Amino acid sequence: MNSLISDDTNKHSNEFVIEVKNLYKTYKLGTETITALNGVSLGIVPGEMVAITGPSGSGKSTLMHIIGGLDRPTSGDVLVLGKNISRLNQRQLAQYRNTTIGFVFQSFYLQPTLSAIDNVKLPLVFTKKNVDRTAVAKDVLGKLGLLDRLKNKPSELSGGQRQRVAIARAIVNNPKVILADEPTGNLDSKTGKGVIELLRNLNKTEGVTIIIVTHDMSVAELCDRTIKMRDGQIIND
Amino acid sequence: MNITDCISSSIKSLKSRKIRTFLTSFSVFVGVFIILVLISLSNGAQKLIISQITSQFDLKTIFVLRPGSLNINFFSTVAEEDKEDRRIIDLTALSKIRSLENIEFADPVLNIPSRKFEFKDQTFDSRVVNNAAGAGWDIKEGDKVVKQVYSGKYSNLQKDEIVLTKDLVDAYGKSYEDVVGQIVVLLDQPGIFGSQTRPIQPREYKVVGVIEKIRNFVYIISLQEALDTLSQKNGYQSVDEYISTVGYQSLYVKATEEQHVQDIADKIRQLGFDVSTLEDVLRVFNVLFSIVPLIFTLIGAIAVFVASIGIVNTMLMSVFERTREIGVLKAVGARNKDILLLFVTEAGLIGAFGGLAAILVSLIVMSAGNSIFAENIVPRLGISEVKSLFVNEPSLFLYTFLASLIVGIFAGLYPAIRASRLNPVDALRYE
Repeated sequence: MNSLISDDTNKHSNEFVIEVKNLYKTYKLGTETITALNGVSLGIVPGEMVAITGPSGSGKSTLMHIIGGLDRPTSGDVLVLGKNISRLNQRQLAQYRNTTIGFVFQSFYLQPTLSAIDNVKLPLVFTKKNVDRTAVAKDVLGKLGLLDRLKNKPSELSGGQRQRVAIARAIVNNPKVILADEPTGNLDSKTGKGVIELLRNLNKTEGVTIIIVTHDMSVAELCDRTIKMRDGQIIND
Repeated sequence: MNITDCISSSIKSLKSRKIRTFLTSFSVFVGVFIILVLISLSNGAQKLIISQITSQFDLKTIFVLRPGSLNINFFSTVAEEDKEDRRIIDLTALSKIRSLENIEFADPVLNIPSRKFEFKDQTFDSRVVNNAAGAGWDIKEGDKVVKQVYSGKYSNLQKDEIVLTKDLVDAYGKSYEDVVGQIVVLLDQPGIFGSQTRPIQPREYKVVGVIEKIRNFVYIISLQEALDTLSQKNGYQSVDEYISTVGYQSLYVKATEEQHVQDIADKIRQLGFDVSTLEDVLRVFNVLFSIVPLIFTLIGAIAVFVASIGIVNTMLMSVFERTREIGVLKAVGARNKDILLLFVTEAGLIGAFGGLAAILVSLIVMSAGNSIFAENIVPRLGISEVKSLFVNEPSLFLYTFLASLIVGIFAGLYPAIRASRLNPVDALRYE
């Protein structure tokens, strides 16, 4: 795949769904300054399933957060579908997260007081357009084989089921990109494999671009490409 | 996010922490309840007192008083002239006043100071009433001065006739019919200090009727008889001398129309007399009753303010506990404004619940209070016009509900702003 150096990216700008240019992220921890990202550049083509690996502290989660619009870079640009998201204000970022991105987290992060279907409906609450939320959520949960679990609360679901609900929530608004942070981290290997295959499926059938942050090499093997990071930089692409 | 989502989400969230929500709402409840009950109470007391006053006076009545008389001065307005040049209510004054425009009638009234009262027939009742204060007053039938007659007659009294009031007869425990025809004796009260009056013989009167209490008089005799008694007691040679030297204590004046009262009162003041109208009396009470509800509202407002601090505290805890939840909400696309709205709504609902509960409970308590009042206290006091102790208008409830809602919203503002400004990444990472 394309290895990305500054001048090349200009030529291929229109090709990428995600383009990261010279990203830096530093923050203060007490009196110390921590550099989480030390000049990261990459490009992701639509429909790719990419794994970002590296030891903890390598900056992979930080990178994902910035791409997902949860955090802002200290310097550098992130272009998603041609739009520079590092320039967006809080309100626009929220909309970006709502419609363009779907997050999947290691600990699922489902609302414990809401049922499965209500959890999945959540992104739709913040969407501007009027949709039949119940119908849409039901449809997505159906695709993921959870029609019999609509009313169950997360505490009544297995780990694998919870992650599938989380994935359903992530895709309910038809995002272009799914960002998964250690999605199999809290699952056993068999269930974890099932989840990755599910993501793979989504990637192939719907054409959703998927970025998985993981330290599990078996997960990385199932992806199209692996980007290796260490100490805030990409060391291998 | 629309308002329905906001409210249903807030309700769900409050339900999941029932006890905490209840306790916080309860403090709002207390403050609002206090306000509602106290204000209704003061309204009721106001109506009660005013109805008592207006049963004594009515809007067309004017009391003309001898300047410097025993009446409490802040209930009357003082005559214009100097203290020295004060007039007595003699026959000239009486005819001057009677000749004023728009006067229906002007009755002279003589106060007869404390006498000892007993029935002549000791087998009828041997008990003695001390300090019976009565009046010499020729009340005419058509005057509408007497509102309730319990037996017999009260007008055209002969010199030896007396009308008793209900309270006196009740004190003796006699029926209003039995007492008519009885002879009563009025005697000098023994041992009145500093009395410059002469002792006089006991005088006997025949009871001809029983009426309700008028002003603070316990019995009524004819004006002439009163004049005789008083001029003798005070050592005057004749009744005329008494009138021209001492004069009548007061005149009970009735205007033809309510609108003329102020005018007539002014003219009488110009003649040099003190005047007391219903308006004067009410003025004092109105001032009082404009202050009292304010004080109660202030007390209640303080209670509600303290409750609102409780809301702030509860919401801060809630925000703290739901830090990760807030992170997730932001991750799926909630804007800062959405988060703000969610928490402000929750706080507003806490206030509203408290306010609503206070309205419901106060309605129950007040209507129960009113029935107890109507059944037990009204008969004893003998008031018929007023039935309720707690009086209020629907708008009171509306305003207090809105106030509790708004107090909740404002209390929630600070915690909600903090929640809305949480960094999503930090919030998600929160353990």
